[in-house]
Amino acid sequence: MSHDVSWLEQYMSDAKAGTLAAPPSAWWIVTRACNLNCYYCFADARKKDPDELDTAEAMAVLEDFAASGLMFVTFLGGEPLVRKDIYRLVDHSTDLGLYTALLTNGLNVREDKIDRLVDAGLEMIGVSIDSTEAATHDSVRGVRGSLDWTRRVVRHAVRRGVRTSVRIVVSEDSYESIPDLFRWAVDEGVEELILLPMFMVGRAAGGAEDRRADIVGKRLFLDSLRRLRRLGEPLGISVPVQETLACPQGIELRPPTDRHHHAGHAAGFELSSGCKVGRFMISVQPNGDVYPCPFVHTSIGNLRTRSVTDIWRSPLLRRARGEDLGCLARSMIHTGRADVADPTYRADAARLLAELPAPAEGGDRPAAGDLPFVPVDGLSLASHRARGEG
Amino acid sequence: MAETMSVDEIVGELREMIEVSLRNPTTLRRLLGNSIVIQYQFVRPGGDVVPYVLTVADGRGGVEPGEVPEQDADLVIRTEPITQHRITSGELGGREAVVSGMLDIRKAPSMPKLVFLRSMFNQYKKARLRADPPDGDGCAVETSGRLGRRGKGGTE
Ligand SMILES: C[S@@+](CC[C@H](N)C(=O)[O-])C[C@H]1O[C@@H](n2cnc3c(N)ncnc32)[C@H](O)[C@@H]1O
Ligand code: SF4
Repeated sequence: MSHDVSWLEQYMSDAKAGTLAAPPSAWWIVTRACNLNCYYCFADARKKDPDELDTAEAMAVLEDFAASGLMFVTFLGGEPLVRKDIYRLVDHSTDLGLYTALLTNGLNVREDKIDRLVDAGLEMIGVSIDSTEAATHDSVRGVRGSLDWTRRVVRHAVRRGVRTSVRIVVSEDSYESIPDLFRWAVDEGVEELILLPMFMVGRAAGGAEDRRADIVGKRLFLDSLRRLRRLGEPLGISVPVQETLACPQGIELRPPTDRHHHAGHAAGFELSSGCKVGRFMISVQPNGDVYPCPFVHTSIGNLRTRSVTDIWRSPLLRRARGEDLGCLARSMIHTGRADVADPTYRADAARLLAELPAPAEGGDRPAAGDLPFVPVDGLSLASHRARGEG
Repeated sequence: MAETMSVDEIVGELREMIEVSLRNPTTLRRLLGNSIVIQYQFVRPGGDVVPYVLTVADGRGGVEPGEVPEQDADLVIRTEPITQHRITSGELGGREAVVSGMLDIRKAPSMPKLVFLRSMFNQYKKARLRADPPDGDGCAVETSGRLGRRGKGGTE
């Protein structure tokens, strides 16, 4: 039988060229309510926004997505499972034919909740983890016992056969654990690992050294990918590395020799490399505002009043399609604007750091310990606590 | 897990899928402004190709032997019946089937049509899951009572 993937490649290359009529995927913060309190939360999740889309409005948005040809929807938050109607939304989304995923912190997510999501057609569940050590994970996330819940959710989801992904934000807290988390995820039979640089937005932002933290965080992220690549090689797992961008990276954890290896996803990670803004995604806020990416906090329209295909034609997205600007989240972090080039893109990190004002001396800066880098305000729980925000 | 399937069996399954999905109000509502025509080219073990056309329009659907001109088909698929069965039952993802070479897309659909097609597959998958949960221990949603899991190579 012929092996013709030209259709998929064509779709991905159209997406990359920015010629699709609608975004392939939407990352939807369905609620800002959350039962945890991670110090770095980009969504600054705490409690429900007063203008959150209700069930009927959310369903109408899903219908607009399906009619546009948007293919993938990921429900996140906040904690999406705090929304009582989340099962209905998942059910409606899959009824419409959308590939539907959900990200959870796992807290209080008993097995029957996962079963209900799978029965509603959920195709992927993502679970966040910060360390193999409960002391670290629980304090980063602000609630004792949360690591146990995370592990339990991962185990049951894998057993239920729903595609399971583990998500790790690279911080000074998680950095050391990342190789162990990688091995743990492989041993648990997790199919996908998503490594994220910490973006200094939402609750992560606001320190005196956000720009420094971003540059150092970007370096930690790129370095972590290289470490994982070395770990993955003997296992036959191919870890894509990045050199200049530092955009969240998906890694297919099952080697091609595994009968459950998902070549489709592996190809997807490869073919969607680069900044996804204006090409592969949009991000939706609880009130229907659309952001270009979950980490680029600027509104380009609202789904209460406009269709997704209309918003997809916004001037900012057109600008991003026209030029390789780097990471627009970093454009915002470093310049306060999303329509200019990312100053860290292809730039030498040491030179950028040297150009920044010297960091404040002493104070409550966390100790370097054995870490292979000098701690920076913003990239750890300790520095957030020192700021009085922990 | 079924390992082989005849053309007749997969055609029966596709008909059942259409029937199940048209019972869903969400699909029916979307069908009002929509239609889909799929030209199937089922490959038999010996290599000969058997053409069938799946049509859904005006709230009705069917799968019949034969061919339509390429411009009238939204999607042209060449595959073995067992691959289509594994997709229909949710064992194999469509993208996976394409990348692994098991599903040969000879004419690609528009994205809205593809999403619509997935909606029919999803409903069938969910209905089967409800009728026959993996652990056999019941599940949160009411069962339709009609659908069951197939044994090796068989139909219900
Ligand atoms: C905001 S959470 C919402 C879903 C769910 N409550 C959870 O914890 O997974 C979505 C994902 O974003 C990650 N995340 C949160 N803040 C981030 C930041 N500042 N930079 C990068 N990723 C971040 C989380 O770790 C999680 O994997
Ligand atoms: S702005 Fe672009 S590069 Fe940066 S995180 Fe978002 S998609 Fe990735």
